[in-house]
Amino acid sequence: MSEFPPIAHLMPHREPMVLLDRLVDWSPGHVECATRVRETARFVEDGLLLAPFTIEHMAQAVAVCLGYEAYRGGRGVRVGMIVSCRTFEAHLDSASTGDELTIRADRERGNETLSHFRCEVRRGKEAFASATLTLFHGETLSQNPS
Amino acid sequence: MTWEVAVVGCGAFVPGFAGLSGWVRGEPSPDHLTARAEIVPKRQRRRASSLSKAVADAYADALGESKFDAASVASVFGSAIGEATTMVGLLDQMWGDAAMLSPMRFATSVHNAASGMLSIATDNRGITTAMGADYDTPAMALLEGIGLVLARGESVIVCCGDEAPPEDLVADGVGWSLMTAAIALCPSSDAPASCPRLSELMIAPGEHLSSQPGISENQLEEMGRNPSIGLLDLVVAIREGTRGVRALDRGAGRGYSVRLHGVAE
Repeated sequence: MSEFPPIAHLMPHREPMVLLDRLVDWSPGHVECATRVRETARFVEDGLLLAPFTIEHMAQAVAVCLGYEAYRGGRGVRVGMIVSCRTFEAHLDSASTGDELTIRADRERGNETLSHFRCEVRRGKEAFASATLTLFHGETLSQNPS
Repeated sequence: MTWEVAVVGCGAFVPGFAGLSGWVRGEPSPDHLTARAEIVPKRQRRRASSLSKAVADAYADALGESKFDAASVASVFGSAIGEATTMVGLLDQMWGDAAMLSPMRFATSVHNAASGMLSIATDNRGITTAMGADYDTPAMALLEGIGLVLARGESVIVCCGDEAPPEDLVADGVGWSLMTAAIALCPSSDAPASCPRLSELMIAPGEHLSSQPGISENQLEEMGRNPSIGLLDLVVAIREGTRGVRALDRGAGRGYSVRLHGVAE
């Protein structure tokens, strides 16, 4: 059994926009999440998830990173928004249904309202995509899902 | 495959200088601390950000020199961070102050704000696009513009610029000051032989501006961190009549450069 709470408790997203399955590793400013590419998932077409769509997976990993930080501190999850993607590299064109992805995000710097994260998505052991994201953190949700 | 496009106009806005010529001469002008954006009608100008106005000045100069038809010329606008100051201000307003957002400010917070403003101001029906590629923005904007010239025979104005980044958007010590630059391109066959040509956009070492008369080293260094500086370096080289391989960034990008030469060189 995972030492971490269900992912839906750590991010403000709701189905069908929850693209991550579980949190697998966390330390302050660092997170690693995992997910399997599913035929019915958002952004999957003809069994393929194209690399540019993984920006959303990266942003959700950042949300989980900050969400777990808040969860440990007894605070609510905050709504956030991608402000900029300064760099993005697609190392592979796409992932296929059934592929296992790991999404890692590491905070480079940040404050209460803006954070900068270096993110990487791996397909199995291969680098799939990487990006540098800046995110704005907004209000705290009034209730977490039970 | 070899290709070549002609350069038929240039422009720039650097605060405190009268256009590209003022900057090249290194003659400060207290009358040009802010962009005038006279190409834009007053009502639109009032709503425009400092970046959009600075883009408008560089664009207008390149358009004027090229004598392109303002209503049909294609345009490419490159900026690494775009209207980030307006956007972060709106987000602060929305979530920090819980205030109602201004629809006008929202309309000018998008990455293609300058593109939209100028196409409306000049009644332009040509192709226009806005893009960002971090420190490779000048190279990628040029690539897009050159592609339009070669593939469609278009006359194109490529304009790049970045405003000073809002606090906390970039790490301490890597901020920069506002500048914009523009270059007018057309098929080589449509331009006089006296116009310089561009060819070979490549990853290769190239020269860039390293000093400027009348500009302190600090100011030059601060401006040199601007992600759009590569296009200003290129138009300065063109205005000075320099030739050779010109760098499109100052070491923070991937190292793109372009060959600048005369006809049949």
